[in-house]
Amino acid sequence: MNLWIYDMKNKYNPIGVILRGMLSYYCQTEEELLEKEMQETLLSVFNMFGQVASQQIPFDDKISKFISVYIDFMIKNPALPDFIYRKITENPEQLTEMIPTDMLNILQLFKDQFQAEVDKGHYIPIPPEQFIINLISVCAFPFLGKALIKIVLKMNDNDFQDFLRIRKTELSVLMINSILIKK
Amino acid sequence: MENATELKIIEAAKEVFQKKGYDGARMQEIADEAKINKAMLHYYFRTKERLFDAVLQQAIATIFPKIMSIAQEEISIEDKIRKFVHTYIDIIIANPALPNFIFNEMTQRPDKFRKYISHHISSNSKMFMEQYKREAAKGNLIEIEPEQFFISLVGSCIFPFIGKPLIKIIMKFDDKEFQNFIEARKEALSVLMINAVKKKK
Repeated sequence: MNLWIYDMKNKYNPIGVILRGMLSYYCQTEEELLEKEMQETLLSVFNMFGQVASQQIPFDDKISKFISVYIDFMIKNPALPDFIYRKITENPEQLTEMIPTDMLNILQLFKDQFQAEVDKGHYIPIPPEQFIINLISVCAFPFLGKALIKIVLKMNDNDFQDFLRIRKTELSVLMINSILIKK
Repeated sequence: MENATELKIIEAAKEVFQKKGYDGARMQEIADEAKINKAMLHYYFRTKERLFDAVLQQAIATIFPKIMSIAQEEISIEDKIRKFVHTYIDIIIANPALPNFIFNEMTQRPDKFRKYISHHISSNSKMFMEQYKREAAKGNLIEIEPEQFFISLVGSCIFPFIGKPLIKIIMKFDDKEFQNFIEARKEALSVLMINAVKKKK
């Protein structure tokens, strides 16, 4: 055990060489290594969304959970938004392959659940797609538009981190309120 | 003073910069695109950076004054939200390459942006947020950090354009359906964002 830890740290010893050799066997370039890592990260975030969508809880709570899972995940994986953005602009076909087919079913489930609430008269009649894209937009935008937000709101890095932290609760309030019927 | 050649160069440079970004763009390519020779290009813009600044300022001038001046109008927050959403989405529909260009370059060169957009944005967004606070204090709107709402408003207008390929995949939209989605979004988003800040009676 100790030997392993020691060897992992020292890249010039024989086992380290083997590890690096194995690494370059599986992933030819640094770029590929990043891709694999990001693909796995992406899969785990999709799994988390799947869990949120299939829980037996009120739809309002699902919205809050989606927001907090999304924002926590992006804070913990700061390289992911840039990676997704690069894929979106440079190679959207590849991104398609990275999205598990499950995800499309989960999305359908989420849309049906939203529509059911509209039919029950709980939410304003708005196409589910518009609400879902809105939910994704308000969560994703701060990570992509960090530079713009820092300029507009005159924030430094610390201010921006604080902004993200309080965003989870503020967004829940806004997004749930955006679809509630006001009488 | 801008003459016809200068405008032609800026248009050509816009094409090339939007396609390739600052780092990828070559002066020769811009000259070719503008159908002039490189010497002529250098006569008007001595460096790539100067040309880029001109393109950037034009891009900023296309978007920001129109949407940010809405903040100064003497209308309710609800009307401002609706006007902001409609104006913003219309501008991007007319200039589809703009959001990615601005996003890319802003991340690469935030200082340039700070220099060119601060005066369009800062005072106007502050004005909007202060109006929000006043209305919330009167009990007309929910109590929320106005910055959070403002950034949500901007994000929900712009994100669908940046994330277009992703949205097309997950929603199974073809180009026509995506266009219809964006067209319908102007009113749907206005309704959602106005409702988002409304109090329950």
